[in-house]
Amino acid sequence: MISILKHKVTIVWLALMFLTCLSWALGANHSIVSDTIRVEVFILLGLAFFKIRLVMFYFMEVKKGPRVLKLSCDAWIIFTFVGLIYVLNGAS
Amino acid sequence: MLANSSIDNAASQAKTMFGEELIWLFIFGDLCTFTLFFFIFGHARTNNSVLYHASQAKLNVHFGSINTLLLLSSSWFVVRAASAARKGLIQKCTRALAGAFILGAGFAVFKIIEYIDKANAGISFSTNDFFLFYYLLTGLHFIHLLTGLSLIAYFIYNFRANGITRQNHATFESGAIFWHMVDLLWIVIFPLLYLLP
Repeated sequence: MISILKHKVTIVWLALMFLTCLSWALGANHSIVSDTIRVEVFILLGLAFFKIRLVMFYFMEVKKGPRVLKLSCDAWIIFTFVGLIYVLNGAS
Repeated sequence: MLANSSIDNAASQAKTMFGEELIWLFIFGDLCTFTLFFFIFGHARTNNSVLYHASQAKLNVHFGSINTLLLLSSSWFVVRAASAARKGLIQKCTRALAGAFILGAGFAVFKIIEYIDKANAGISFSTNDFFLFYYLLTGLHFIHLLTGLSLIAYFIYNFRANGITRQNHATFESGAIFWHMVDLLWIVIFPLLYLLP
């Protein structure tokens, strides 16, 4: 059971590394994603907040925590992601 | 070292909540403070996109990306250390913590190189609004990083000196949560400062 859990955390870490490399490639070559700035902002921040959820739920073990902790984490993620998309929208 | 029953007890407590409740209050307070900075930065960027784009181009995206990989890997080592601590495996735990420390210190070294590079180019926090935010966000994050590194060093020393006790194990889990938060903050700061189109 413990080894499965460890393995799962390692898979999450590998996913985080892959997603970071993806963001790196997208950020260094904006045109390969989309010509629309809004879409690029959405994708880059979407990847970041997906990574945050992985760190919170698997590294910080929120997944095993009480319901109120899970809801609080998700609420912060959604609030910050939507808020940032909103304030950055005018940039396009 | 903890007796087996104590380890089981500690592990079962950890299943309910990793870290103590108070650390989570601190974490959410800190996250919300940074959220405020992120929103103000986003608003300022929207209102002066030409200046922000030109300034962002002076940052090295590769440094930012490598630092993200270093912090994520450091966090993974802390997860391994936490797993080992619950089983009372001191050596495995301190080795994983040493790995986390080295990677975290690597982040600090890259960041200092970046700061020196900017200083040599005549860039400071007074250059323009973008760099004011750059030094504010990365500076606050750097202070968190140094705090986290100090905690990791302390836990390595404490576990080696005293073994894993119920008390230092609980403190360690809270410290581990803090280290993951340092990672979380950088995951947002990185695209905001380095990657946005």
